[in-house]
Order: sequence, then structure tokens, then C-alpha cells
Amino acid sequence: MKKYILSLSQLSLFVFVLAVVSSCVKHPDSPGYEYVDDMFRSQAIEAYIDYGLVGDKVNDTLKNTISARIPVKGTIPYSKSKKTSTTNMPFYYGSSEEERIRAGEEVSLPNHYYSQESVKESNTAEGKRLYGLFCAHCHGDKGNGDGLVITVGGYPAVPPAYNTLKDRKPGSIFHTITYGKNAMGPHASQLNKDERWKVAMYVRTMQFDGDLNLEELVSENLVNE
Amino acid sequence: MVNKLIKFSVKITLTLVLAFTASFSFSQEGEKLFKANCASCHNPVKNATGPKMQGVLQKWTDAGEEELIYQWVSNPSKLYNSGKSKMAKAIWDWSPTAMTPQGHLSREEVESIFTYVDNYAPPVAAVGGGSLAVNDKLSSDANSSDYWWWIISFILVFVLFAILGVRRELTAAVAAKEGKEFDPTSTFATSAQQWLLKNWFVTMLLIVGVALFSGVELFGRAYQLGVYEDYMPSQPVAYSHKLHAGKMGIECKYCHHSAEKSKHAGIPSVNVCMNCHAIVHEGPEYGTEEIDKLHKAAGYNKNKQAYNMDEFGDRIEEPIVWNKAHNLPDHVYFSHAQHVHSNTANIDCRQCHGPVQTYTLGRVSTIDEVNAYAATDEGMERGLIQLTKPLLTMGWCIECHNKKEIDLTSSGYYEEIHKRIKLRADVNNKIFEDDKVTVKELGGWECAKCHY
Repeated sequence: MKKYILSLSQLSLFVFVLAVVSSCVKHPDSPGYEYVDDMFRSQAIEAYIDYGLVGDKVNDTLKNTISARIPVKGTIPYSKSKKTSTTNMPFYYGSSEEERIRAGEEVSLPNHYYSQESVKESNTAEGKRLYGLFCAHCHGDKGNGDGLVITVGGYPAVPPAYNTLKDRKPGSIFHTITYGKNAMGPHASQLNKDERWKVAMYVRTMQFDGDLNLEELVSENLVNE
Repeated sequence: MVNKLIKFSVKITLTLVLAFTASFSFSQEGEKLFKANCASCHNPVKNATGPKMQGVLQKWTDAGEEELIYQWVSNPSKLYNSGKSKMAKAIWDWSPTAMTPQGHLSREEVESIFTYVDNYAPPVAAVGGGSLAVNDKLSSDANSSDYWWWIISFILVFVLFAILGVRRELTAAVAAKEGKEFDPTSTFATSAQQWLLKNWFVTMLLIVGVALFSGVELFGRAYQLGVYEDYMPSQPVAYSHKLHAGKMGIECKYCHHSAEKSKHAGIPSVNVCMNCHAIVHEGPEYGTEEIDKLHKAAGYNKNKQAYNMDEFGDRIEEPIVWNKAHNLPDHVYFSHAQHVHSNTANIDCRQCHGPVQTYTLGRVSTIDEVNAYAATDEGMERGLIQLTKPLLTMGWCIECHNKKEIDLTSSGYYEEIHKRIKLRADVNNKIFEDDKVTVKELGGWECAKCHY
């Protein structure tokens, strides 16, 4: 009789081992076992790689703790072309309303964005694409302030229609994208300076029904020079 | 007399009708004016950049400043500086943003705005949002059913052996009663061995069967290693893609904006959330609970509408530690910028990530889900193709590189490649043999493209 019990317990042990092996990783947030684990995580530190959870093993000292960082203040991105580096120069304006008005008066769209017809067209097209990605869900496809976030999402504030704001010059639009205005947040981390100018170009184009209102821009530039 | 009465009643009706239409157009006028001048900062029933406007006239009247409110609207800073108004000071201190003077509005127009705002009723939220937490359950369901299978099979095996044991005891008892010989040292194992030796053909079949089964099983399990389909880790904040990207139509690249510039699509930092959540303090599913976590991470005080600063003028922040859903091993190089930027391959995000706008938390789609989405009108419009291998495996990568057709005029990147191909007649002929250009033909199957 004793022998049966032994074989039974052996058998149950076998079943138990099978169950454990087949259920694999128990940690609910782990993606599972990895093959060739020394080739899975870079030895050099890489972004978005968690060194604190490998398979089932949790190592608290290696867990990700810091988030995305902003570059040192005043950093200027490297670029080969002189025109692009001019665009990337720091924007010396504060975030207040007076500074926005001052930026609108003093800063104008850089000349090389529209001096050639083909360049102007491609920049406006790129501006349109960026507008679709970063602005249209609130400001609407035509800039009427009727994006889905406003109409469906119930956002507490409503953006004004662009055709009522024709007095906002490109420099002012650039300032608004950089620092935000009223209920709109700053979008400087999502759009770099080059992209902000392109969006401003497209917004101006929308306000003046497909025309960039070049005369105004040219006269501004003459004043600046 | 009768004539007079009729005239009188006609007059009264006319006045009534006129008054009614006037008041109607009055409130319509108010709505128009409100939307044009106030709505970008004020909401009738919620605090936004400016305070909520419903009942504001009553508040000023209660404070005994009914006349001053019109001065406030036309020039807030003048009224505040004059020091005449307590209400003006209260609002000035409440909001960090100064109100834009509305001097161009006449007194009647401001009154019509107040009439509109006081009669404003917020629209009832649309029904049928459905539960946002549907696919949270998927994976845990599959796991628990696995678990039950094991318990049931264990019980069945136990019962089987118990029955066999009883049968053996009975056989022994019968043998003893009939006076037959029964070897008391024979165990269950030895009797089974004897039976197997006697029926050698069945034994062989059994051995072959078990070997085949375990081989296939081993192969299958090995294939599952490093396949992360349907993997959905928990997240510190119950963010819903379904609400943001699905219902409100925010583009993927609004939050994952580094997808176009970097190899990573990027997990958005809290400042991107704060673009909207600086004034949106309440969500439809969890109320203020989840959005408060964002405010804590960003160091934002929602009552003061300002960020908490330390003595050095930096924000007091606590990063949110999100869990990454899509993992690629270090020995394969993948760049989002190369795949999704409009100047390069310009592939829709959903080709590889599936219909994320229908999920809540970030999750690795299965290939069946991606194929089902690719077959819909929306998927076809986005130019998705159907593939067979599991997501995020090498078989899947090279399958797409072999199958996806490229339009060489679609972007600057391909135009440059086209220009260089044309310099070599033999290469040019080989690629354009079948009128179809794939990534494979442009070197997408070279090992060193991804492994180096």
C-alpha cells in the first residue's frame, strides 16, 4: 500500500513541474523569457530600455527612474546650412502677452522660406501636413476652431476662427506656438523652430485664402534691414 | 367699439411677437458674440483660462458692483488699478493670465452675452461611449482558463489512479477467495510493465506518439519565445487611446512626436499631456483621479492654475514611469523615422501597431487584428497590407519588405535612390523586370541593414 502512495506523489510532482514550466513567466508586467539574453539589452545605456526587469528577476536599483530630458538652455542644433542655423538661433522673447505682440512686430518669416516659388510651395505643403498632425484636432481642418477635441471631446475653451485674427503676423503665430496662449499649451517640445515657421506659413496661407500675403512680408523685411 | 377692441388686440399680439423674436435674436446675438470674443478663454459652466461665466453678473450684483462689471469687460486693468472693485481684485488674483480688454463691445452687446451665458445649458454627453476597459480583460482571461485546465487534469489523473488501485485490491481479493495464486510483491508498475511487454505494438505506437507530440510541442513553444503578440503591461495612469486617438481624433504623432525624427516613437513626456490637461481636470471614465496623477507628475497646482516651483525656479516634477509594450532586442536595429516620415517610407502607424485607436492602454496587436483592420475600408485607405507572421518577429519584417510595393516618386528619399539606380543599367533592368519595386529589391533583405 505504501508503494502506491509513493508513485502517486511522484506523479503529482511530475504534473506540478509540467504546469510550472508551461506557465512561463509569472510577473504580470514582464514580456516573457528572452533568448540570447546577452544580446537583448544593450550594454551601453539606451533610451526606453528597462534594465530593472529581466524575465522574472526584478532589480530595483536598475529600474528606470528618469524621464525625457530637455536640452541645456540655449543649445543650438547643429546644421550645415547657414540659413537653417539662423532659424535655429535662440528666440529672445518671454512668454507674456506683451512679448507676443513685440515678437509679432519685430520678427518676420525668414526670407528663404518663400523667396523661391518651389520652396514656398513645398514649405507650405509641409506646414499643412504638420498642421494636420499638431493643430487640426482642436483648430479644425480649416482653422474654424471646430476640431473633434472641441466638438466631441467637450474641451472647456474654444479656439477662435483664424479668419478673425488676420492681424496676427507670422512672428506672433511663431510666439504662440512656442509659448502657447490662453487655453493652448506650449508646443515647442513637439515642433522645432523650422517646423513652427512652416506651420505659421500655412496658417497665414489659410487666413488669406491660399495667398501668403507676400507684400506685407516683404515690406516687413525691408523695414528690418 | 368692436373695431377698437380688434385693433387693440392686434397691437398686443404684434408687440408680444416682436418682443419674443427680439429676445430670441438677442440670445442668438449673445451666442455669436460669446463665441467670437470670449470662448477662447471662458466656458459658461467650467473654469478654463478665465473663470466660468454663468452667474457672474449675479455675483457682481451681490457684491454691489453691478455697474463696475461693464467697466471690467471694457478695460480690466484700468478697473483693477483704480482699486474701486473688490471683485476685480479677486479675479486678478485668481488667474495668472490677464483678461484681454473688450472695449469694442457696446453695453447692449455685453448684456446679450450675459443673457446667453446665464441661459446656457451644457449639451448632454453622447450615449454609447461603451466601456473603455473592454480589452483590459483579454489576457488575464486566457491565463486563468489555462490554470483551470491544469487543475481539472490533475483531479482526473488522481481519480484514474484511485480507481485502478481499487481494481487491483479487488482483483487480489477475488484471487484470494478463489484460491488462485496472487503475487503480493507485484506493484502497479510491474503489472503495467508486464501488460506493455505483452502488447508490444501498442507500446511502440505510444512511444512514437509521445515523441512526436513532445517534439511538435517543443517546436511550438520555441517559436513562441520572443513573440510578444497580445502583450499589454500595466501602466501607472489609466490612459485611453480609445478616447484620445479614437473619439477625439488626435493624431498618433501628436504625442509620439519623435517618431518622425528619431529611432524611437517616444513615450510622451508630461508636458505634452499638460497642453490640454492644464485646463481639462476631469475625464469621462475616472473623473479627476487619473488626471490628478498627471498634475502631480508635472508639479501643477490646478486650483492656482500654476506650476509649483522650487527655490531655483525649476518645476517640482515627478516623472511617470510608463511600461514599454513594444520591445525589440538590441541585436536588431529599427528606426521609426525611416519608416514613418513623409520624406521616407511614409507608412501608416497602424500597419505595424494595429487599430490602437480602439485600445485603452498600449498593447502589442496580434497579426489577425492588424489583418482584420487592413481589410476594412479605413485600413485600405491608409494603404495597409495583410501579412501572416506574428508581429515584431523577423519573419514579419522581411515578409513586409518583400510584399510592400514602393512608389519611387512618392518621396525625396526614393527619388534619390531611383536616380542612383538609373546609373547602373544592369541593376535598373533587374529591379524593373516585373514592374514592381519592393524594399527587398532595394536592399531590404541585406543582413547588415538591421543586424550590425
